[in-house]
Amino acid sequence: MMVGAGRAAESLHLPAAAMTAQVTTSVIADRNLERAREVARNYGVEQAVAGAEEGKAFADAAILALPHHLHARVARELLEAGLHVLVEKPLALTAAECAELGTIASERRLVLEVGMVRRRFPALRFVKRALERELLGGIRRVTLEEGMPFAWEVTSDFTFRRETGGGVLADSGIHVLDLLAWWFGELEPVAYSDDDMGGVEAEVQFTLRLPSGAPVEVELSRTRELRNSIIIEGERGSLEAGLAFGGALRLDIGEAPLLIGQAQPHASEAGGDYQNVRELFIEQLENFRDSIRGTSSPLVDASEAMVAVGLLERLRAMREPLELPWVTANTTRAA
Amino acid sequence: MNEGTTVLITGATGFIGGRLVEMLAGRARVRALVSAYTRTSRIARYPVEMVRGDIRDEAAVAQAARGVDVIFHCAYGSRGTPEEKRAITVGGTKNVIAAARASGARLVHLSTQMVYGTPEKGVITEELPRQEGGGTYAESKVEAENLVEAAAAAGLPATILQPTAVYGPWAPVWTVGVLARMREGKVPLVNGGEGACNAVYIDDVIQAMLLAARREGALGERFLVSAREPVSWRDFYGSYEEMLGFPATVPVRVEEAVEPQRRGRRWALPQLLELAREEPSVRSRLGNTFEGQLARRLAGPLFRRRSTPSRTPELDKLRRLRSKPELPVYRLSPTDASFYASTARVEIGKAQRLLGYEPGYDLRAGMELTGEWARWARLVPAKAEEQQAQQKRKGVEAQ
Repeated sequence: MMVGAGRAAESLHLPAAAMTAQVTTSVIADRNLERAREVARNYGVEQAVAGAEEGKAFADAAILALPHHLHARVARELLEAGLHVLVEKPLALTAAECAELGTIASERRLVLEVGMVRRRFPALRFVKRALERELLGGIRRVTLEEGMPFAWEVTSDFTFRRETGGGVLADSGIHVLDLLAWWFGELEPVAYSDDDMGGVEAEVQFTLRLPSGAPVEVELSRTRELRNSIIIEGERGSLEAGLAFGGALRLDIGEAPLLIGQAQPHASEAGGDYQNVRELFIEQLENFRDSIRGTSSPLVDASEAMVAVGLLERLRAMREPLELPWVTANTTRAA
Repeated sequence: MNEGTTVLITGATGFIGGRLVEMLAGRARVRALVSAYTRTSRIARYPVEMVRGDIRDEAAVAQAARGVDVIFHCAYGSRGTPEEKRAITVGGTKNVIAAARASGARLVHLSTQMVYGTPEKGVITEELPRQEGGGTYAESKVEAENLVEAAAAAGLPATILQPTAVYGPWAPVWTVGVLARMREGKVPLVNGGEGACNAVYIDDVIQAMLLAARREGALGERFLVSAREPVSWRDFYGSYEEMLGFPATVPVRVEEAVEPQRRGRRWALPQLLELAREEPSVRSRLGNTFEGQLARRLAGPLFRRRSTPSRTPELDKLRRLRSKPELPVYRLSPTDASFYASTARVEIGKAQRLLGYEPGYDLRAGMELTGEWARWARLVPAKAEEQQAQQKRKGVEAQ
């Protein structure tokens, strides 16, 4: 069952399902039944229903691509109904909810996988390998910038509303937090600021600290074109990796020559040969399918997803307003 | 404007509408008519009610305007064919007027100084006749103004504002556009940039809009909105050169600045070649245009043989040092060349008298904030001292 018939379902999950062996989409559920029917027609799916509750009788597993605030509630309902669940990121908006969902899945022996698809990006897998092999020596400093004008043609406004868990931090920021936790392990939040002025943030700056004390500085934006890479500076050299799918790698270690290349040459090591991002969704769905069969395990389960959500909560708790002088310039006279 | 007031903003995801949201949120209930959610990141930072709808859809506009006290109409056609642009600017205004009538809302209609064309000199006031033939943008704005004035004459509480060149954070034409052009080529300063630049910092436009929404004397009137005094185009563009850290303008005479194909018969090739032969400075400038560079590549040796020593070699040397010779000089349309050559100054006395408008930003103050934003937006390099501080910090932390 595809739960949610928005842009992510239409452009990523349903094409992946259509191209994954031994996976059949039996039903599409969306509050907007008209939309569910339209998408079902486009993908040859027989059933379209107005909610997950109604659709659960037609499936034994579900993919959730809903507004963030609904993830935990709907995942819980489906797990309790005995369905395996693949949830788009973030699994939930609090670590406590993540833990609860993990417990339910575990008790009922169901698969609960979280769509942290960026862990499958070749360049970012290379970063993981490089760190595991201590290629750079001790880490001195990490900076990560991800920003571009928001261009995702969304069909609803949930990512722009506070009450639905919107904002850049829970959206692309959760990927960043997940990657950082995956790469570096334990991270301590130090400072956080954003430009939320009663709605949802579009700009975020925060600092984390590695156990060694080295800073991890992050900047996220929905309005500006930023560097879109991570730079890791270590005792023996530095590594820069583009954050986009197919991002370039630049490795500079001591006297060794500077290496500049696309991530694809390393794909064999990373375990995949990808044509485009959609193939990663197929890989993710295959992983979900095989986990249900018991021949694999989820790349990211509830306990792993909980780490990033926990960091998100702790960062938000120390929120300071971002200084934007051109916004706050004295404008009271006329108003 | 108070917390009990509900306003509708059209064009809220754009430059001026976006800043209006920033300045009104928290002081009034703000509703924004948005055609798609994709561009709402900036306004979604505030507690804004976003209503999805197309300005060309009369019912959607009427629905969005239900129960509002004021409509700030900022939407206009900026993309597509001239017909599509006109449909949004004129058709949209028609729908907004109908919605304002139905809901009993007051209307603040954002127009432009361009409705008066580009007088060569003198003073531009609201008394000037509006011009036809100024291109799709200006013509559509004239049409839209006519609709608003007719509605006002029939009793709609409406005010028209006519800002000059609006610059500041996010300004697509006079900030982002200028910086983008300066990174790729050199901007010609017509007549040395001595023409009058009637520019206004975005926050002063917002001030005028908010005043227009509440002052009784504003009803049925149109107001030019600009800074207290014009500046020179040299100073205006010079502010951006400072931000960028390199020169990106070149002084030209009005004849040199105009695209040859638009000059008409008077500016045929023989005259152009004659001008180039007689004037080394003109020749070098022509050589630095896009077309000139192409010509150099195609006929380089010939070009060089015919060149003659400059009559002012020291000055030429200085210019070469000051400018980036590899960057070509942009050409202007005759209309744009006239615009930059004009010494006509915009008079804001009416807005001062009837609205109580007092500009809060001169060029220095406006460009200071603009520069801060542009550095943050990565449109220009960080200030040298900021870069040094960053380097220093990196060094300390790396130890």
